[in-house]
Amino acid sequence: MSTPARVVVRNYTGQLVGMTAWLLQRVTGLLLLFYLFLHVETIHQLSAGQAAFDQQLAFYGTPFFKLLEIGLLATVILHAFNGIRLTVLDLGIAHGRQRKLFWVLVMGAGTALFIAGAVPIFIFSVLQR
Amino acid sequence: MNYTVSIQRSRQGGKAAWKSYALEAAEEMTVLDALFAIRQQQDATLAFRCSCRVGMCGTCAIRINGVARLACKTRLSALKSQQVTLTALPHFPVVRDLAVALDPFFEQWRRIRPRFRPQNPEASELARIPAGSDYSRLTSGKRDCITCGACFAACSIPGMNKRYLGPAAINRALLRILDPRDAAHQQRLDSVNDLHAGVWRCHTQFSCGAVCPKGINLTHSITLLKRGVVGNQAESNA
Repeated sequence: MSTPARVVVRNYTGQLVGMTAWLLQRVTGLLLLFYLFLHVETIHQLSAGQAAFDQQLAFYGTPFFKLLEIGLLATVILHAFNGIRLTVLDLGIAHGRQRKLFWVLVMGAGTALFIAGAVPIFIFSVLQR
Repeated sequence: MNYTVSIQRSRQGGKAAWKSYALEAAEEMTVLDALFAIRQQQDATLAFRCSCRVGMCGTCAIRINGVARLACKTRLSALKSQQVTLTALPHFPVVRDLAVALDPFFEQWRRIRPRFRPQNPEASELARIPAGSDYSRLTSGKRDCITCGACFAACSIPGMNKRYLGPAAINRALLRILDPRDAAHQQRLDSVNDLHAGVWRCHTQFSCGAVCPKGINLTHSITLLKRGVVGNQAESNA
């Protein structure tokens, strides 16, 4: 027996949205850590010579990896905007409006920036290839 | 309206089991009213705690549809769901069914020395707190804690760290530290500055303030103390 799913969603998008923001920060942080290792590994290919490095870059240039790049953009934006929100709150500002801050700054402004970045990547790197 | 109230009941051996009750409820019925109705009409063995029934004592705090709330202040109609799940508050030992022992909460409460310690125990004049004073401004809305334990239950940290002071105790420490008549500022600051159990363990999830039946912004209290601790250390180093 558990609380109905729609009630849980309502809890975590309304009253407990601070917990949702915290979870998002943790998950995106772990994803960025994984990306960092991938990035270091790619740069490490330079030690194996230019051909190996070019081959690795060509692999990342495929439409599949461009779609992952769009995911990376979303991850970076969520983590960065939520980080700004946390910095503002740690300064003791806007505590009474933290839910609005999450929806307007992180989800609202974040989504606008994501669309501005993701649409060109999708059109020029996925569709036109 | 018809509701299905599912309650996590305790069983012998420490295991819990769900039991559901069908209930026809009036528009104004609270969760506490529903619990009384179930106990009187369907199952006399159901255990829960309550006292004042008007949201003043904090005794009836339970988890309703996944959120810690006072049963006496929560109307069934406000839940916007005909399926209602009730469990005991997490982070507390269950005495039986929905009744918990608040010992972990009050153990932490005692650690911050909640009692007022006057600078002048012999003072006979009543304290005057002007409406525009720093104390009045900073503590506005933070003085109404009823020690119900809902914040402690909603916070994720006590589940991982049994030594964490918890939001209510930290808020109480803030009230004492800000009080200009208090003589134990430094001891209280030392208590909340504990790296493993104090304000630095807070993850700024806002769950405590979100469930507080008195609407106290507890995360703001914790943030004020973090800044106070840093300011105090900067003054000491200067």
